[in-house]
Amino acid sequence: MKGPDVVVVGGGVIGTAVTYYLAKQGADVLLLERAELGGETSSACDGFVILQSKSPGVHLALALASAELYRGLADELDWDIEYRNCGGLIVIEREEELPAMRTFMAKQQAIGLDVRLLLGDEVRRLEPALAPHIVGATYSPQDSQVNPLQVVLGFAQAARRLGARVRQGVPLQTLRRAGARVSAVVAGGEEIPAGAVVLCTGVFTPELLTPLGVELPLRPRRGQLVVTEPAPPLVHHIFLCARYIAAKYHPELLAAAEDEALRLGVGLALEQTGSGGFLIGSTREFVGWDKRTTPLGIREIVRHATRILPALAQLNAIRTFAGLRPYTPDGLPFLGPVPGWENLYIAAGHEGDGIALAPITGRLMAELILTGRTSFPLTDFAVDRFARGKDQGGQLKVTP
Amino acid sequence: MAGAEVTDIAVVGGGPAGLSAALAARQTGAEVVVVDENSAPGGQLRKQIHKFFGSKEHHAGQRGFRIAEELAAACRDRGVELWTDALAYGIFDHTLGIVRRGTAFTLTARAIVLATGASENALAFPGWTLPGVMGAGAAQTFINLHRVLPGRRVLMVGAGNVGLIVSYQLLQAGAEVLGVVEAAPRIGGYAVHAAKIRRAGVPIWTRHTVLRADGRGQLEEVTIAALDENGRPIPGSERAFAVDMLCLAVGLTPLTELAWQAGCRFEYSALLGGHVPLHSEDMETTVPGLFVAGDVAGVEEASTALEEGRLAGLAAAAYAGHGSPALEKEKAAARERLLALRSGPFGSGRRHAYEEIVRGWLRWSGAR
Amino acid sequence: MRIEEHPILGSLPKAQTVWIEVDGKRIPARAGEPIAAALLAAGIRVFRTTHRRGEPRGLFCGVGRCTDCVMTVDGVPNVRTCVTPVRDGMKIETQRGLGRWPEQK
Repeated sequence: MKGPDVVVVGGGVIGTAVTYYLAKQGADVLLLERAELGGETSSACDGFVILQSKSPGVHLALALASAELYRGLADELDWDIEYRNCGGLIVIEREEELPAMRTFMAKQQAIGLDVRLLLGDEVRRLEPALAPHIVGATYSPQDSQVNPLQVVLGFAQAARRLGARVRQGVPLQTLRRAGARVSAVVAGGEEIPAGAVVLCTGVFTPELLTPLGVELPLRPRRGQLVVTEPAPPLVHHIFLCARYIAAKYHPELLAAAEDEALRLGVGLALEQTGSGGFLIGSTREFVGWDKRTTPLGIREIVRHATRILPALAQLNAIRTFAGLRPYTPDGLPFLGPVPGWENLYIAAGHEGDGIALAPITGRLMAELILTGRTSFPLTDFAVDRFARGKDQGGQLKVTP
Repeated sequence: MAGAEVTDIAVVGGGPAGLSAALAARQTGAEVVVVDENSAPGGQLRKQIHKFFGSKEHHAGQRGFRIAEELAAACRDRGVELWTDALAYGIFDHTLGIVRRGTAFTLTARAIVLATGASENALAFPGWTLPGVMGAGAAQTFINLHRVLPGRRVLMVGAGNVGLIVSYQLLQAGAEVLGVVEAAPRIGGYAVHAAKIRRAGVPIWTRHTVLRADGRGQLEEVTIAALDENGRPIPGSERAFAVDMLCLAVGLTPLTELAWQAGCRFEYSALLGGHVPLHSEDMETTVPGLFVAGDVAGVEEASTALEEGRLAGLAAAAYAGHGSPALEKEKAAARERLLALRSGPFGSGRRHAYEEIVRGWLRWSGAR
Repeated sequence: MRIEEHPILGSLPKAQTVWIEVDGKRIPARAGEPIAAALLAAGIRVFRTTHRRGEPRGLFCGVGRCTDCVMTVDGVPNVRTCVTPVRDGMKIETQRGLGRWPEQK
């Protein structure tokens, strides 16, 4: 019995993207989702396609390529993913943060990102709702937003149209091995022969790999978010704050902080969605598999957001939720084959960048699996990069 | 964390179940805080102006709003803390997240009683969103509590107790009630309530439904129709009424958000109004130290809510370390009285539904 | 319409009159009552229109749960009029869609 060319495991934004791009290249693809499409991290996050937050280097280069794919994606998928090229701001609250942001920005400009520094009234002209104490902001017109769940559904729907099969409620049980190859996957009580297998299983990837003797330094990191009632337009861009950048790349500095908000890794990530509601994040916490929100987390998110945009204090928060982001020590995802295996691949570990990086991840994985070559070098994303003794992604300096 | 309050027993909801739970718990010596989002305690009792049935323990012969006043006064006298204008927005283990007058803080308790009540169901038909179409409970709140008639010519949908009682109270408030529309073949509420409005000349049309509501900018006309055996409107039976108010009395659903967030296990019970948290015969949910009482534990009557509240309050106090042989006796007496409330032709169905919930809890407890 | 006399509740108790402004028109209210009560007493039943279709909405649940009765009060959109008490001099506007922020006036 001949099985599909590729079995994709995991129906989040990465799995559906990989499925779509494989199907687009003509492959026979089967997507297995253990519960529902987008039911975990991909539906518990914001919808940022933001470039400014990416570490200047291969990370940003990858995000730029992904942003390019997003431009035409709604038409390509024939699905309203609520894409809006709104532009983004990284708000700077303190003078002391300026030098670091200038350096960060200069490196990003060198890689080709259109980003500039707006000071004082310049930024308040762009967003009059910003608090008076805001020193400035870095601004990039290239930043955009989407509705993450619509991206997941759009990829899945388009993949189906191209002949891919999408099965929900089917958990992966085991991988059958024949020499250095996966011969079949056992899922939902069924043995399915597979030409290749890609694990797009986000935070759950390590538990699938441990039985194979592969250890992946990928951990769940909780992010809490607050949702407000719909409101008239108040802001026109997506927002991060400079502290968000610090929380993302230097968690060790924050863990020891006196301030509760800092210890929780609270950095502003704010957008006003198409419906008018605000989505406000977020914390960055290592608390295992606990997906609950906390009163402290909620309070600090709200406090931080209302300090930057005081008008938010007039709105009712109507919902809170938390998601687990697949954290890796260098902030880069794992994209590539599992060492020692010929046809087993991983695309996981995007932390908070899964939405932004999904299209390029899907495309590159399809290239890799079907041709063995990629249009963008994946060396820095190698699955065994930590085993080889490299650990600080911030120092990577590969450009395509 | 700044603004972190602590107590023995926290009760969410200051209606009959919540106040009753608070009093019972307080009587054991426990420190008790009641958190209620409204400006005054009493819950939906505050708008009940009819006399209650039943026994002395359940304030028979008294009007609802008087019972609310008495319970609130007893709470104050005995040192229960009543926090009004206080919204419990979330539950995190044994900690409640609260917003009161613009300030957010937490309240941590050894045991928590959820007495959050129920909300009115809606009924969708063309035009149901027009101003003038509203819940029967909304109409009741406005006529009896705020002393304002939201309309003058009224049709009521639903001939359960709420529909019948509110129809009568609309008459008392000076409105013209054109009739009561009921989809079921029989009147659901007590015969004594139905007789009262019939005596006042208000027809009750069973096997009838609302087809649509019309009006330019607000409600002006409602069209009803008779239903056949299969529940389908009979063509040619349509009748239109010029009204400015249409009240919906089509049941209540338990307000279970906090119980869901706390991780309680649930079971569906159509008779009890929807998904109901599994609970023991002492009203403890599947989350240790978290109790439920009143409509959140299954929609019943105010008398049942009072008794469930008492039981939950006592059990919560025992959980918090204030147990005693006397308390166990009182719990047993409360359970007896609940059994009595759930007997007779109207009670036995609810008794079976309630027992189903307790059996679910026992299955969960046994499997643990 | 105010219920001045009631067979069970008796005469309407005396209350202090406060004045509120609804879409520029001054109407009287009883101190402490919810905004919606004052509006209904004055015969005002349409409180807002919806965001997408511009449909009228008014009182529905009366206990602060459904948010159908929200209006813009003193420049703040989405205020639940059925549970928010009146204050003398309060400015109330019929809310169009999501309303608007004071800065945009």
